[in-house]
Amino acid sequence: MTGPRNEPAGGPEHEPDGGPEQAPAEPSADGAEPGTGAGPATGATASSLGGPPPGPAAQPAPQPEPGEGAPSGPAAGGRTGAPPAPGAARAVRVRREKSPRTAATAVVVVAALAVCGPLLYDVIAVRAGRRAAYWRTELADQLATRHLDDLWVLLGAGAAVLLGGWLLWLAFAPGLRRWLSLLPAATTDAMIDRAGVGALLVARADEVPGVDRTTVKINRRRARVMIEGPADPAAVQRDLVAELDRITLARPLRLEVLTSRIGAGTPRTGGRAR
Amino acid sequence: MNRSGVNRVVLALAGLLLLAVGLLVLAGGLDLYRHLGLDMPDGWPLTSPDQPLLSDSARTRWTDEGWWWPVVIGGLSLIVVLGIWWLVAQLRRPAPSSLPLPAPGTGLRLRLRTKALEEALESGTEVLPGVERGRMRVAGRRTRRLTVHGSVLLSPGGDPAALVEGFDAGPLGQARSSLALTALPARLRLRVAARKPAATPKHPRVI
Repeated sequence: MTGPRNEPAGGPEHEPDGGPEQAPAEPSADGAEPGTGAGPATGATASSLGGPPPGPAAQPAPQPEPGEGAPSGPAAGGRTGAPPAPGAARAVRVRREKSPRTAATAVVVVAALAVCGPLLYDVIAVRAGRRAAYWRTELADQLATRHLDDLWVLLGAGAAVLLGGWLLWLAFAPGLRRWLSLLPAATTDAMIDRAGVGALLVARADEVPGVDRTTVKINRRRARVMIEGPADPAAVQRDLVAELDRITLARPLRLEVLTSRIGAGTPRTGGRAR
Repeated sequence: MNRSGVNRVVLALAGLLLLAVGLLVLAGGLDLYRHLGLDMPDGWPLTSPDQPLLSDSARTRWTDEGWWWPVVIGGLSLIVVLGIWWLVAQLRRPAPSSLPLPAPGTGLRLRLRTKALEEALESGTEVLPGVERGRMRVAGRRTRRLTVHGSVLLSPGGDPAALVEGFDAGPLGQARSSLALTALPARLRLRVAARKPAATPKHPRVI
């Protein structure tokens, strides 16, 4: 019942239209057609693929057939989750690059200038004998008359707390969550787009015979590949592990392959019967 | 401190200021000190909901002191000057416009335009297998501390690891040896182009 070939229990995970993290629909690849999503259009013929040589048997498969026999994820239904075998080279710890935070700092700096510039001008003008500007007397008046339990004061304070917390989070979080580090060459550090990893996984899974449709969701730790069609999930798993090994991420993704045998004329109960 | 460090300090200071002021006002306005039975030390600001945000007496407390206006004007000027300096620093070119190009034995003093170096790196990258487009930018204030920042668009099914190795050994190595630099580190960002839609469906459908 809970063999790796079963359908996953979660219904919405079958939907070909994933969340914003759905890799192939990422519009970041400018210059390519939009609409090249994970729909049936990804099912290109195997001969038209330009990248890795076809034939799963030709690729090194370090994963010793996790699909059959090994009930790796009985609680998770149809998952055949296994980390891609980390070789000795994967032990390298790559320092994660941090976002420069230029845009957020620009907003803060411009806001500080917008507040402090006119105030400085008016303070100097008053010291030089002119009258205070209207906005400054009005502001001082409001500050002196509005009490702390005034609704607008409380709303403003709440907004300041939220904004301040967000700025602090921006200051300390590393950012660049879209990018995953690759193993560096001698003098070249590289990062790859998460959606790009997803596109490579989709292209590889679509080569496996019997895969009708592939959907990939990737976060920073895990790639969840959903395949539809009468394909052997162990073969898909093997090929995707080989593909992840080829990409050489500095911190390997955990791979989960979810299968459903919908489509290609196979009755829906066909997957469940096993 | 590098540019990212400066930016993060600015963000942290602004965030701390907003958070502290907001929390003080909220705690006073919602009367949290009394509800929680907290006894704040003398001089703690904004403790009662009936208090104004900034009373006239608080605003003019130090205006008669001799040091007050110079401190206010100096502080505001410092913020304005540093802000303008930060903005101008963003507009500066990230690298010198040309680099010394060694020509040993010839007696010539050659210079290579940085733009030309970037274009050479780009064309050297785009001939690597599986590359659709490469954009390179050279940054660094001094010639000895240059870095290359690139973004590369791989074709569908391309090989990221091979590209990184090929770039390191190929265009980057050539640039480093041409300029006779001891180190020319690079940072690449790779993306993968979306696959073109297939002309024919995988399985011909017979109705």
